[in-house]
Amino acid sequence: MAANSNPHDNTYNSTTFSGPVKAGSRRQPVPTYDRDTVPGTVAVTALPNAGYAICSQSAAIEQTSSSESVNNIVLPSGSMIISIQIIVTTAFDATDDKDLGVCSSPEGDGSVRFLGGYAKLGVVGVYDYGDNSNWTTTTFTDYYANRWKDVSYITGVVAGDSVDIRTDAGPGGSQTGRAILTISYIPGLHLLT
Amino acid sequence: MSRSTFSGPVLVGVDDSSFTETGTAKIGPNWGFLKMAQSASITQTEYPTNLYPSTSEMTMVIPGLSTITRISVLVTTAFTGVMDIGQVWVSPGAGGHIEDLVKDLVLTAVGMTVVGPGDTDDLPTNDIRNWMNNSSAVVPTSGDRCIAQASSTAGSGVGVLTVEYCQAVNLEAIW
Repeated sequence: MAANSNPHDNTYNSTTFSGPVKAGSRRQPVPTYDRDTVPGTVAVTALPNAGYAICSQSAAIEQTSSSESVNNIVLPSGSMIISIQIIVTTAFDATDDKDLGVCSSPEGDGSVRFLGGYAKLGVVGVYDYGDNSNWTTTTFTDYYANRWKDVSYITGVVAGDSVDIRTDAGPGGSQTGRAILTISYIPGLHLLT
Repeated sequence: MSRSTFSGPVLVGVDDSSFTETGTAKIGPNWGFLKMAQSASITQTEYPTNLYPSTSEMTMVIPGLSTITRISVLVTTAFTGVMDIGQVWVSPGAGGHIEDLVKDLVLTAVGMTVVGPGDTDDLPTNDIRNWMNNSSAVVPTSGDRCIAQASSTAGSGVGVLTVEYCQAVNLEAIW
């Protein structure tokens, strides 16, 4: 595989599904059961136990002065993000520690919406982007949280469209920072749409 | 969105991979379990009788012999007080034995909270086994279990509870 190519293309043989992968011995809901008003009337062994397979996509990130850079991560419509990991291999040094922000962007829409603040990545290591104590702006507000809860819950998203993930390295510094961004998500939950 | 659904666990790998173990060439499997997840919307509700009934119970049933690998709450409206997360084996809301997975989880900040050592260091004796589906008191210990949650106080907190697990990995032999 050529350097800097999309790592999701063809690393080796793969089995690909268009929809979410679920597993469990019982998949159908119990139509007569109301969890709020008649608890205790159904055995656990009668309830559906199928869960979703967790998916992840990764991309190489460079510290550049251009904002909202496109990478190779595109999330299916209605996905819920459960973690964003940044493995820093070369330290970032943007002005005011605004090293890297992660954004979502509707497919075909030039606008972007941040998923959090600018993370400080001044030391080589593994970072949890959801840890807002490492942001230059420390507030994790509900509009960030709702974009994690349902990536399609942003203005401009057409129903069923995928959502592009972009990154924004702040200006200044040597621009030599390098990292691997990995987003783990549950596809197709549609918790808000 | 269309779905592909399997009854049993999904594993990825091959049966005949080549590797070297202490200098000796060997052939064996390299497959691993897909990590699965179930999520449920939760609201801050106080249940004086411990963890049931709970709004999350109906939608989260973990298959038997699964090992829980991560529990998180994506908070969209901050909670007050603390939350306990546990599991029931028999019937949601009907009582019976309930065991803890998490004690006194703090959810006072909007954002992603991942359960860590500080949220599991004061579980009742042997309840840490629940993460590996080995109940300390319920027989059989290998059955499906329903996730339950309750807050210490009533309030307006809102979030999404997500339990990640490896389905039917059955760690009983090594735990």
